[in-house]
Amino acid sequence: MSAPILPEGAWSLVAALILGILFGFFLERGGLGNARKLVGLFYLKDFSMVQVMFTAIVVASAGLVGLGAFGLVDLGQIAVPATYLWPQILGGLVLGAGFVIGGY
Amino acid sequence: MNVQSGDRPYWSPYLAGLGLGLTLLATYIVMGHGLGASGAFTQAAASLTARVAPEYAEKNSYLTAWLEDGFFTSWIVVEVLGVLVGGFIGGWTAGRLRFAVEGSARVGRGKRLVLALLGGIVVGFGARVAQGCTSGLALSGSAALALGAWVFTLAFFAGGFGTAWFVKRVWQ
Repeated sequence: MSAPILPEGAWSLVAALILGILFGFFLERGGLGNARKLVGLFYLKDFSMVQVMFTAIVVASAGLVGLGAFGLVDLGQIAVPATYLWPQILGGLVLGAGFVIGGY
Repeated sequence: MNVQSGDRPYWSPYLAGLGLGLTLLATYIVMGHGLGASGAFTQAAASLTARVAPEYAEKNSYLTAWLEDGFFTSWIVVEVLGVLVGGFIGGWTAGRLRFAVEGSARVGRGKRLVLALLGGIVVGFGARVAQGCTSGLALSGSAALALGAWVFTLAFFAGGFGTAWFVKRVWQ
């Protein structure tokens, strides 16, 4: 079992920089750096945010499940955010409201 | 494709989503956790508090959890700095680089910026209540099939649609 690799120290920060750059690049290319396109969803005018987001979720999720099934990734070592139902409902509602007010 | 006049066309959202999904998958394979954004601001708040009021920070268990790392040696901070660089490269190489305040022309620049600050404060508060944002929970958590992340994502959409009517002048 080799993955997740879990680099430490400076290597983890090198990974952070590279992965962050890719994250920012694809967000921008998908139009998610543009407030009007992001907020457009809530006026049913622009669906880029959900299209980009759910494509990414499906790709990453299927990739994890697939690699896990072949024993290439130890899914037990993958961090899954804990569930706090009411804080996540309340926080999500508040964040959604702020998102439309501010645009991001 | 929805392209506003004067804007260079973006990629197909499915192609950008594929790239983003592979990036997220790589993050899980390398780091064992997903991508984030709002955590960098929590790190900034914790590091600043520790600098300005160290005694208060040491007694606050919420902040001490963030003080094991220095600001610039924090994974999430370096990742978010990378996002700024990557977004810049994406806009630059597509010929989209320009100074602009996005929003309806009917709302003045000043008012739009005040609303952006207000919205940012609300978003920051909501992200701490939920312990995550659209990156860490809605995107990364959903891909890891975390129940709370899907609940958060639905609540996020509900909050957005519920508020849209009140601020439609800002965007239309």
